Amino acid sequence: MPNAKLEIPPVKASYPWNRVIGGIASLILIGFLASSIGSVDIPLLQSVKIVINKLPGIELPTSWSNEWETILWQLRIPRVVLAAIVGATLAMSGATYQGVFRNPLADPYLIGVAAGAGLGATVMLATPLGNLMSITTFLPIAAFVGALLAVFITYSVAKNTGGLPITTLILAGVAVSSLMAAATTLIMMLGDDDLRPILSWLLGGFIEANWTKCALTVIYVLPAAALIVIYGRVLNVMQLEEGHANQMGVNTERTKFLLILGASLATAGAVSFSGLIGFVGLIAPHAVRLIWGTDYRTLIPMAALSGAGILIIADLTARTIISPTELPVGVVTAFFGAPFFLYLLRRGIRFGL
Amino acid sequence: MTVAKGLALMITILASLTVVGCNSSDTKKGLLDEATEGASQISPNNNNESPSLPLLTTPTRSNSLATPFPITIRDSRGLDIQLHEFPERIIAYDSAVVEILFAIGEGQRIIGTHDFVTHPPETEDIPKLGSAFSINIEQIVALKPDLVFFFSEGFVDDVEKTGITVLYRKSLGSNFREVANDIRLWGRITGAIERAEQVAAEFENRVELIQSTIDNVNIGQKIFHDTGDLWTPGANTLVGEVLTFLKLQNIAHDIDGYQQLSPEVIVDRNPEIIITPNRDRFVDQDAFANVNAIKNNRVYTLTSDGLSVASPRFIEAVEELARLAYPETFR
Repeated sequence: MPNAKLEIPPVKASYPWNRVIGGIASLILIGFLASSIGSVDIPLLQSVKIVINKLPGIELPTSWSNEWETILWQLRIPRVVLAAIVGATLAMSGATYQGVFRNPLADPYLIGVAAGAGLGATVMLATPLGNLMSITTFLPIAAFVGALLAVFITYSVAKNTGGLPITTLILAGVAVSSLMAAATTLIMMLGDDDLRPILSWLLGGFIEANWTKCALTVIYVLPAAALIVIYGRVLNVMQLEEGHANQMGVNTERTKFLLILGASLATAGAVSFSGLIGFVGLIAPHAVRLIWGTDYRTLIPMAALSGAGILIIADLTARTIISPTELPVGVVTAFFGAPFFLYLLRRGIRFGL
Repeated sequence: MTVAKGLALMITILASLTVVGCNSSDTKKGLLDEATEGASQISPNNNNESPSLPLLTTPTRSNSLATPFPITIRDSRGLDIQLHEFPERIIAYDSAVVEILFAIGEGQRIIGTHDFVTHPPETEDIPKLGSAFSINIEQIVALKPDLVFFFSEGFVDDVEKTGITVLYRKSLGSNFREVANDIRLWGRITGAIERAEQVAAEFENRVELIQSTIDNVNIGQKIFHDTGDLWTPGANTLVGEVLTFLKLQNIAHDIDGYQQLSPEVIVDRNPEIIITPNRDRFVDQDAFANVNAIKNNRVYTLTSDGLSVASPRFIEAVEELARLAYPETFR
């Protein structure tokens, strides 16, 4: 095809490490500032000392109370870290879905992950099953299983003879999501238990964060993230017509499958420990595209860093705005995320993908 | 955007739950007045010239043979509801009213209630007609009730339009001693005045007994009352008031209605007692290891769910709480 004009995204000669390093530095700064603010006032200097004292080989003279150390080290910092991990995961998955589906509205929950995880969690919280096992341990597992089940059904339905048509996949996702959401509501209505734990979980939040959860989330998310980082570079080529991508030596079906698998696994891992938090996976990638362009080699890491920062700030808002009580973080992300998204639309951003 | 829709739905549901859960927060001022006012309005119409007569001195008890009709009750809208005979068929969308009616021996009048009523065991056979947020009006009409009771205003007009007598009274948001007057109210509505008086007096006596037993307690222990996922009652709630009554310092004294308390605040305010449905939630978490209640093994789960229903059973839960807080004073 000699006259086919291929618009290949501009590829920089060298990888823009300065952006990534700048992003990491900003994230650490945001994380530190967020750790110094909370329902209980701990002077900034004391916070710094408590953290430094935790570094191996450093013993500072103790000038703070045990409570402060507990609050900072066991509650606040794990919470900031978990928010960062989940935010990064959702944003990274969002960017991946948008790339694979070539659809600006794709988000990490598109193909049933959220509804499936919600169903899993609800089964655990509202049925006799929850009485048999420790909810703290098994709730994330139930949510994870539910999410994977939903994705599996969606994927199996959409995968017809050898191909994976995007439209079919999205439509199947919508149908599976509706079915799972209906099952969730049904279980909630039939059970005579308090609905509040389920609703809190569905709205998402980090009130239960601790170091163990941070570690477990990383274990769930890391392999999936590796998959996305490895295959994410191919997304640049996949933005072309699929035929062109094939011509350029990309096995599109297999790459699509691996990317969807990675993004779904990562999302399922993140929501299992944090509940359903909307909009981060939609907003962060678009904000990054707006600022730094659509090269997926940088888009994915930068989206992850932005997602982490956004969710840290959203959670900070959730836990301080009505202190000493808390808002579900999902309310905060929806409250600020939706208007921001409308603003992007209003500015007439053409979603260059 | 299914997520957005889902979130919106959840927020709506959550908001409506919160409204019921903390009906004291927005209306706390009016509620108390209304409750007392409503209760004192229950006087037979023939001595209606003195409607402000306090409840206890209304002379119905002595001349219970005289026709007390019509019975006039002030509802939470400020309207007077008149009953021209004792209602034989009552649909009560309220756990507290159901429990009160059974406690005064009038449970057989209940022909329908809401889905979440589980107490007393006799309620198992009573038809469940939806929740307080979705009711089946056709079914209500078909059951031909003499009286339908609601604790929230949502469906009052809809049912009234069908010509059925509706009594709407908000559930108690504070001052748990008003339970006694609610019991008397239902005694008057059903004619079981003496039995209701007994039950109400027993309730009041048990309250008095606790009060006199802890009379010399001065410094209250700090308590955190978790109702699940760190949602906790503030001072202006029924439970918050029970804690104050028991001379316990609610560490969530500065919150409004029922809200989710930050775990940081729990560590910082260091409660001596924790009441929770999920003991592991506290015992297993490293962050709480130095909280006094955990160090001294004073994390308890109430065996009764009585604190969630303003019924005669409420006092049992208050007594249980008293035993946990003062193990040496109460056997």
